[in-house]
Amino acid sequence: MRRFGTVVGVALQIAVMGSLLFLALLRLAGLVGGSRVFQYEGF
Amino acid sequence: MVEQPSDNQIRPTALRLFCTGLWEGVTQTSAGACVGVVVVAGLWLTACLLFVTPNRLAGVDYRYWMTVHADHQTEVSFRAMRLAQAGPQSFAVVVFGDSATRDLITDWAAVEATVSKRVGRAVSVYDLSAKGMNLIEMVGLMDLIDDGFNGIVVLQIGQFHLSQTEQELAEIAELPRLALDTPVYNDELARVARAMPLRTGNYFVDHWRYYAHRVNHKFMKQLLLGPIPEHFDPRQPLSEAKWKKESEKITAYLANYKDQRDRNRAILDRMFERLRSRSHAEVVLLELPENPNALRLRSAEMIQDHRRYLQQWGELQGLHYWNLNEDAGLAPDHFLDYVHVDNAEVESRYTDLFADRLAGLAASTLEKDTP
Repeated sequence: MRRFGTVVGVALQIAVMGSLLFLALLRLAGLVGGSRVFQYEGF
Repeated sequence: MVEQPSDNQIRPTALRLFCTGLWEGVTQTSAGACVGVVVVAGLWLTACLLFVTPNRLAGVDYRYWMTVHADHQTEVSFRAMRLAQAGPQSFAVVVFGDSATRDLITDWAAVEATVSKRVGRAVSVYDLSAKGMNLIEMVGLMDLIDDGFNGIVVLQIGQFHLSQTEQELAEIAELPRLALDTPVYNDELARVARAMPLRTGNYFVDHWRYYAHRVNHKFMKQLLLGPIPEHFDPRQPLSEAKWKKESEKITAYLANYKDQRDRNRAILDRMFERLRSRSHAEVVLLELPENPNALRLRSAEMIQDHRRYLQQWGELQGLHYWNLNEDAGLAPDHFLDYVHVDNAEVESRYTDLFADRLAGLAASTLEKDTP
């Protein structure tokens, strides 16, 4: 049971950290690429 | 004889063992887990490249991507994706405009109901208005209107739109706001921009920046707790000092009008021509609702010249020109600033007038088309 828990734990860690890594890299790429929300100033 | 543990004794032990293992698995790092993390990130990227398409996004609740209420560009992008996904319809109305339209026509269901009732069939009305829309964004979205479209296209237009400079139009090449592009959007942008944004044909590669700058703590919170609620963004009335400053800006901005209007009109004419060649669309130019105090910053001659220009344009191209501002009785105290109305009675009156004119045009168009 402990082994099964470890396997689930590792899978969970990989899934969460992998997803966060993807979002972080996307965000970082946006920042490096000078990306920002263009808000029209108008009048 | 060995005593067998009861069920009650077995379960907590198994659960405890599982939890211990789970904690170890979650907290202990290993080379394998690190590789796994990179692989999962790669899988997300691959999935985005393969599966993120406007067609799939059309069904998604776009409010997850709206990290601020005023992110109208997200709203119109996703609504436009839905319009494109819906394909040719028996009869529909699509309205393009900016924040002036958004603030004035607040009950689109009422518009839809009036038109549907008059023509005796269900007519979908798509509101694609967003604040500060530039002409290239408008025609870009208009390009999503399918071949074989049958219905009415309304374009809210005023002196401000026809005064947009090339530099202003080109800003969206550097800082795109919409979550999509179309052939017309790209063609028109290429005419004014020094460098075009990357276009590979892969939606995610071409539009990753839109998503990248929306991935923040608010987005993460919305992913967990639900999307941003529907909310009308209330504007604040301008103070006297601010109004004075704005007036100066308006006057300076409209100084471009005469120089820019033919080039801007050509952008729209090219789109109308495409629209006519592939669909059966009646096009309406809807005059921008303006604060009479803002109109007073211009000479009466300039205003008349602009109205004549739109009328002649309409006659020449077979477009309808509607100016509902006088009939709606727009007065300075109905406005917060130069174009934004904040008066429920006026909003309702304008919406009724607009719906009525639209219903009349829809009925006559359908009558004409009936053999």
